[in-house]
Amino acid sequence: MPTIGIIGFKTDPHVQLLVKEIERQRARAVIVDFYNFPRFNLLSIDEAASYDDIHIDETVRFPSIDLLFLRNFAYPFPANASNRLRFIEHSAGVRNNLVLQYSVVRMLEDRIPVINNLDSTLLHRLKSYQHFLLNAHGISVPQTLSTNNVEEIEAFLGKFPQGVIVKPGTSGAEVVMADREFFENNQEILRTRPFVFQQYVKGRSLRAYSLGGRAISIGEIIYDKRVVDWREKEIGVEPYEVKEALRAEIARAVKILNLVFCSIDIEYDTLTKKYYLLDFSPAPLFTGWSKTTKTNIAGEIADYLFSVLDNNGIIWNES
Amino acid sequence: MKIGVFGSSIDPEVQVLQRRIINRGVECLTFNFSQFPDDLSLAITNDAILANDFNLLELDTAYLRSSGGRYPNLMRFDELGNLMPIRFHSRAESKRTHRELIQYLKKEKSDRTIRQAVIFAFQCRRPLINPLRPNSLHRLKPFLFHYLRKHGVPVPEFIVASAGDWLLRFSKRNANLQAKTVAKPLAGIFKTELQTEKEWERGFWKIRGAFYQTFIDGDTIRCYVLNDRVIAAAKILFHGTVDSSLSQTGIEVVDLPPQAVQIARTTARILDTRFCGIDLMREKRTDKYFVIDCNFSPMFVNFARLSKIDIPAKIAEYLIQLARQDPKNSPKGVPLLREAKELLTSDKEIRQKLGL
Repeated sequence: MPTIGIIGFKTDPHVQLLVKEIERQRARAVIVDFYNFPRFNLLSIDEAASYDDIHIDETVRFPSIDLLFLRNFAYPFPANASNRLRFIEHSAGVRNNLVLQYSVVRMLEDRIPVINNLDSTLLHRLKSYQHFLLNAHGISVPQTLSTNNVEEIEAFLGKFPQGVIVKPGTSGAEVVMADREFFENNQEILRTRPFVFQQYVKGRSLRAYSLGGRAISIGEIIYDKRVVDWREKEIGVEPYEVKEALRAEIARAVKILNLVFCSIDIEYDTLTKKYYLLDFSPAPLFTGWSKTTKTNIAGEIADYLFSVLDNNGIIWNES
Repeated sequence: MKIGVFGSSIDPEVQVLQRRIINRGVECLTFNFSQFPDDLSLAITNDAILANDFNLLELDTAYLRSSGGRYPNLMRFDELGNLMPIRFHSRAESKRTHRELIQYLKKEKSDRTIRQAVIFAFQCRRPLINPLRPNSLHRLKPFLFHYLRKHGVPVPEFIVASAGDWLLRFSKRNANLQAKTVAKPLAGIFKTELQTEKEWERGFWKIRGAFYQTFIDGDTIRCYVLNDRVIAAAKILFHGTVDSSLSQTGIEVVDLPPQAVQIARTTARILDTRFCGIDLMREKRTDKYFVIDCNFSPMFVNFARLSKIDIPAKIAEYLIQLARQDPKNSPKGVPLLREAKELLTSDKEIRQKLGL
C-alpha cells in the first residue's frame, strides 16, 4: 500500500479532503503539520545513524513516504519578546526553523516525487519574476510594472488609457484601480513602498485548475462588476467553454513554472478577444469551487498522485 | 563593456572588486539592493529591469555580493532602534512594539520579493556569480551536507533535531568514540559552539531545531574555487574557540594535496557554483579532509591581503571573460521544469530509478 505525505495543516479542510480521497483509494495518507514546530513537533534527520533516517514525531519516518504533496509550510512571525536582543533571537529562530522544513523537502526531492517542488513553490512569491519569465517565453501575460519609481509609474500609466490596476507586492492583497484616489491616498509612500501595477484587462474573469499540465476545471467567475477584484464580491461560478488554444497556453505556462498543481486566474479581453494569464497559485483554495462546479478536485489530485506512482515517479509525462 | 557588482559600496569586498575591474579598463557599476526602497528605486517590467533608471540588462555580467535582505540581525541592531527600545516599561508598550515589528517584517517580506525578482530576472539573461536560488544552499545547511555526502564528498557526521533525547544520544555516541560534538547555527546571529551536556540542558533545541556535528580535531583550512580551479588555500590560525571566525589571528598559505583539491573542486562542481569559499578540516589523526562549510559569497579581502594572493583580481578577470560572451547566446530564461529535470537527471540514483 503506497503512503502519500502531505505537508500542510491538519486543520486545513483541503488537506482533510485530500486525505479522505487518498484513503478511499486504500492508500495511506500522512499529514506533516509543521505549524507547531519545533515546540510540539519532533524532527530528526540523523545522517550519522542511518542515511535514510528522517523522522517526525517518532511516528512518521519520511523514507516510508512514496510521494509528497506540498500544500503549506508554517510561516510564523517571531513571538513577543522582552527586549530587543531577544526579539532578534526569536526572528533568527523562525528562520532557523524554516531552514529545517525546507531542508527536509529538498532532501526528499532527491528521492521521491514532490508536488509541487520547493523551488517552484517559493518562486510563486516573486510574481514580477514569474511575469518576466512567462513573457520571455511568449506566454500572454498583462504588462506589469513592480516599482517604487514614481517616474516609471507615470510613464506606465500613460501607456494604458483603458486603465491600470495596482496591488501591493505580497500575495492575497486587495487589487484596486490606480486612479486619482489611489494616488492621493498613497502619494507619501510611493517611493518607499513598492507596488505592482498591471495593465487593466476589461472583460470576463476565469479561473482554471491545472494538474499535470491539464486544465481539469475552468469556470467563469460571476461577480459584482463595480469592484476590480472579484474576490471582494463574488456571486458564483458558471461553466465556461474553453478553446483548445487556451488549454495549450495553460499547459505551456505551468510547465515553464514547473507547477504540477495550481490554480490560474485568467482575464479574457472581450474587445481584443485575447486571454491573459494573471496569477498562478500553487496552494489554491478548492473546496468551495468543487461544490459549486461539482468537480471533485481533491479526487482528481489523488488520482493524479497515484498515476505518478504508477508511472515510476515521473511527474510530467512527455519529455 | 560594463560589469555590475551587487552589494554595499561600503563593503570592502565590493570596493576592492570594483577597483580591480576598473583597473582593467572596464566600467564597473555597483548597486546596493539593501537601499531599496528608501534610497534606491527598482522597476521590473515584462521586459526590462531598472535600478535608479539604469537598465541592468546593459550590464554584460555581474557579481552578486549581497541581495540586500534587511531582516533584523545583530549587524542591523541599530535599525530597530526607532521601533524597539532596549527595554520596555510596560506590558502595553511591549505589545505595541511587537505589532510594529511585525509590520516591519511584513514590509521587508514584500520589499524582498521585488529585490529578488530583479536578481532572478537578471540572472535569466546575463551570467551572474553566483545566481540566487530560491532555497539558498548556504542557508539550507542540513540539505547541503546531505547533498555533499550523497555525492561522495566527505563531511562530518551530523544530526538535525528538535528532539532533545536524539541530540543527547548523538553527543553521547561521539563521546564514547572519544570525539567532541559541535552545535552549528542554521540562521542569523548564532556561532558554532562546542556542545557540552551543560549546553544541551540550556535547551535551545526546544525553540529552534539544532544542528549537531561531530567535531573534527585538526587544522581549519579555507580555500577558494573559481571556475573549477582552486585559486588559493590557507590554514586559519586561531585559538581558544571552536569557531575560527571568533579568534582568528592570521593565516598560513598552504598547498593543498591532490586529495583536498579534488574534494574542493567536486564540491564546487556539484553545487554548480562558479566561485565559492570552502572551509575544510584536516583531521590530525587520519590526515583526512572534510568539508565543513561552503560559502557562495565569501569574504576575500583580508585573506588576499594576508596571503598575497590577489583573489579579487582573479574574480575580475573571470568576470571580464564572462562579459565577452556574446549576449545573443544568453538564455531568455530557463524554464523551471527544465532546470528541475536537469537537477534530477544529474542524480545517478534517480537516473537509474527512472531508467534514464
